[in-house]
Amino acid sequence: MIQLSNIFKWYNVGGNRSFVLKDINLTINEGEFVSIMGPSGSGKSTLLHILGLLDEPNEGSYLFQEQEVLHLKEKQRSTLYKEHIGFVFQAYHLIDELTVYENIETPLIYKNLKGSERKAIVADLIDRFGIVGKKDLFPAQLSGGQQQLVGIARALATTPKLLLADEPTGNLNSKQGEEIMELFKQLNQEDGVTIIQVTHSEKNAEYGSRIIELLDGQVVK
Amino acid sequence: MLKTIVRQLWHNKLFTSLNILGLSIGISACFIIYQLVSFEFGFETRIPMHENIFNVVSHLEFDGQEGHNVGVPKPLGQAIEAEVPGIKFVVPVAEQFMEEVTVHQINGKDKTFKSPDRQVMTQASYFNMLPYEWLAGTIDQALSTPNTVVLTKSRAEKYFPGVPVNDILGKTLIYNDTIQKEISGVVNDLAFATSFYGKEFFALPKDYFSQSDWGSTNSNDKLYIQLEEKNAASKAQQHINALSVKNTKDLFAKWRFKRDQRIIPIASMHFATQYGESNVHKANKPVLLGLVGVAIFLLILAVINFINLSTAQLPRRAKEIAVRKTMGSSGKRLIYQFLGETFFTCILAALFSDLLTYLFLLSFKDLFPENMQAYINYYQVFVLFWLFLWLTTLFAGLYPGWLISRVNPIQILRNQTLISFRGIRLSLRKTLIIFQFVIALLFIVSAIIVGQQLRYTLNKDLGFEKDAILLVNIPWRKVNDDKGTKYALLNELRALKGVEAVSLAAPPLSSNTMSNNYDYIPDNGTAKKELQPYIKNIDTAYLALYNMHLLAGRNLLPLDTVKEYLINETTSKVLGFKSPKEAIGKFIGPQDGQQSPIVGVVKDFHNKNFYQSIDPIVLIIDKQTSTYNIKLNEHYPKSWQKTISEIEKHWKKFYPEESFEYKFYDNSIEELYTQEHHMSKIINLSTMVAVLISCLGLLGLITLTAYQRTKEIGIRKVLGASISSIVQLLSKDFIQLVLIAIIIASPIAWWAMNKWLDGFAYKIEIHWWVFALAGFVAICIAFLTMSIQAIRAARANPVDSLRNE
Repeated sequence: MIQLSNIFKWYNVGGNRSFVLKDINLTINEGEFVSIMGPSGSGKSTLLHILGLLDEPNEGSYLFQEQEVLHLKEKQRSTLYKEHIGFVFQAYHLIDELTVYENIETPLIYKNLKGSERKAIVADLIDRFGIVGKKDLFPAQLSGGQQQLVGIARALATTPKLLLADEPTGNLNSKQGEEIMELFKQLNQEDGVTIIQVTHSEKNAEYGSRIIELLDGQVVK
Repeated sequence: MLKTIVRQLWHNKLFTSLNILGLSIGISACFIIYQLVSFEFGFETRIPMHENIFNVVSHLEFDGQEGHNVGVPKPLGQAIEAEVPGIKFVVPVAEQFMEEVTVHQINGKDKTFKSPDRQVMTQASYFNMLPYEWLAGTIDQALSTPNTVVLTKSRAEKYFPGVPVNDILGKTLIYNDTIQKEISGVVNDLAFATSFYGKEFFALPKDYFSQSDWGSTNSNDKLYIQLEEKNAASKAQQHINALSVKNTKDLFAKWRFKRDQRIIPIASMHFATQYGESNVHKANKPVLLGLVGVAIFLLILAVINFINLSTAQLPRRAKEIAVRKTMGSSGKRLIYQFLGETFFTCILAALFSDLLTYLFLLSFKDLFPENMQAYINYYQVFVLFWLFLWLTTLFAGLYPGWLISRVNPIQILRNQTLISFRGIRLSLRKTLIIFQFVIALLFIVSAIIVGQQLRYTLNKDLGFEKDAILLVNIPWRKVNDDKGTKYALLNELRALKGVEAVSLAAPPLSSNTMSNNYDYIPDNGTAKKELQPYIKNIDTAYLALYNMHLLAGRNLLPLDTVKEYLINETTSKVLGFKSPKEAIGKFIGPQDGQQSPIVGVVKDFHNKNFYQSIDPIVLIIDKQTSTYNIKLNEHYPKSWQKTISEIEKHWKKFYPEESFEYKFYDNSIEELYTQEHHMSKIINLSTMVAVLISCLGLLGLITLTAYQRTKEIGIRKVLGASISSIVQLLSKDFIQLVLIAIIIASPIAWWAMNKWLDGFAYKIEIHWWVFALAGFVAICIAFLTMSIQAIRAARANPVDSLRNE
């Protein structure tokens, strides 16, 4: 599903190149649950952003479903992204001014779905995640775990093949974290969603089928 | 401190330049208006005791119509001097027209100056009343004999370049080749704005005050008085009026004519536009006061903008402020820092506005009185400037400064920038934006409608054809020479190639008018009708030349005296004829004069500007004509120059001493609307300024909003939002504000423009699309302004805005 070859990413700092990613080669198959680990500043998030088409490397090639996606036009990339990729953040990143329901609905609006279709999908998700009673609340009125649930529901609204999560449990207590991880495992095994998560926690990493370790921008394991 | 200020301003280049631009536009507008207003209100105020000096004028009433005349009957001055108590000086002033002056210069050569202007006749009291300084000669002798002349320094230098004033004394000037006058004094020019424009002074002749002249009022005979005490003004007026009435009672009773003498303080005369004075520039007080309002308003807008823009960039600086605070800076210190930045920005804006003002005055010279900048009081300007600087700094700097000092450093450093500035009230700023756009829309609507009316005025069917017609005036002294020169020239002109027709007549539409009282005595025995028509002297070629239509009857016959009349449609209606045909053969004539038949009725044509409806007009053949109306070949404009030089050759043959001057008639009609052109220009300029300033405010607000919503924009992009949908999201609210402004502004604009158009007898109708167009323009401009920032915000990489560090 994903094939990265010779990916380099650097910033110019005072005339010198400061490498964030150095010669990354990586293949991820459909249905995998991959955990990326590594210390702060090892390039985990940047790698995830590149995988999620939010960022571009300076060098290298990225095949997504056998298609070269680097140097695509904005519009094509956006289409690809909207169809196949969902994102979950450490800080949830819900829109404060929108209710739970509206937050989940937003990506469907950008996918130009009809009102009735949107309603069906959102209702289904709310039901499945057990947040029916909270659908008219605003994010500030929810606990961290609940917010992250909404974040995941939102990411799944477009039924993506690939779910990218950037330390999804980083702001949660261990019990909430476990619940989220269970949910990920379930999504991976029952719905066949490919998941790539960035995490600091060995324990969370164990939920995945494969662990990739980064150090100073290079894959060590 | 200065270093940090400069660095800070340089760091935010966009905002600094927007701030400087907005403020400097405001300052420039204020400074220009200040110059104009202080110039106009400064007239006469530097004359010592000017509160005690009054202009005696006449108020006339005849046949229900009022008239104002700046002149008084000639004998009035002497009578006041003899009979009215409490008067310090009586100063009669009359303009004198001399054709030319010949000067025996020091090097022995003669030099002739053609039509020297600003020559007046007066008496010694003139120099007592006004602050003149005698450089040569003395006040007692200067105008004591008839054949003396006093010059101002500038005039003396013109006639005798480089000669010391004392050497000029006693020299002789020769006027019109015959009149010799000896220079008996030289005075300084008045160094302030004044309507006392004289540069060359003659003594009033002895017979000037002749008693027989009580009945006439000539605007050339001006009279000033200086009272001992200004409280005595109303008493003096009563006295003077009684004098005038006493001497004219019998005379005026017969004509049912009334005349009041009034006295007006000289400082107010400058604004008394109803009293026309030749050579004197008058100002319109309501317009000036309106401009003062505009100036204050623009400055307030600019300061509001400054506040808007400054608060808009606060969130960006939150971190700097928080760090400073944790390091122990007091709120006061931060406010000082911000005030320092504001002060520095104001200084830069003031410097830049100097350049703007200069460029503006250079490019729109004709909008302002020519010597407006001659008497600037630099001390006053300097004081006002400093005052302005401090006030603006305070007003524009305090609120943002206060906000800065309220920043909670813990919140900021915990990376919650966005929350801590939610205190900045968006609703207040939104109200300001609506307010700004209401004003901008008012300006846009008036610019469109004034432009429309102006075009309508210039293109409307006048009832005659004005194109390809030259007007050439015969000098007034030569009009009635007994040799018939003007008819000889007329015949030669008619024979010229390229000239289609020539008429010696008064042009149909002109500011020079003549009217008289006429009677119509119906033959069926009903009461006679009176009217006061305008009289136009024409000849037989006139109707054809101007392509005027006869509705009934025939053209006038070439006769030597007035034996028949043409009237216009309006006259026919005023006299009560049901159709033009009915008027033919009826007799009219001047009151107490010969009655003659009406032979034709001309279709109505405009005889004055569009403010006034068409008047009753009577057209007669008369020898008192002084203008050649020359119709050139309309279809070959290229040939005109050649034809005109031909005409000049013939002119020189008959009037060898007179310069040949001509005017195209359509141009001189356009000149009637100079004031409207000025107004239209001023409105267009104000529109630009108002729109620009409103846009700056909008730009500030959208920038703040985009910054506050950075996170949301990032999330939406991650969720798949396109750039256009984000631009839409950001702009939607503001477009709503502009829509609200349109709803508020339209009725106000409609009302105000209707009011303005009411002043015109012939006017356009206001169509709804004008408001639609103005609204559309405003929305487009607003959208353009916002989209720059909105697109920038929408294009930002969401990775950056969602980073957690």
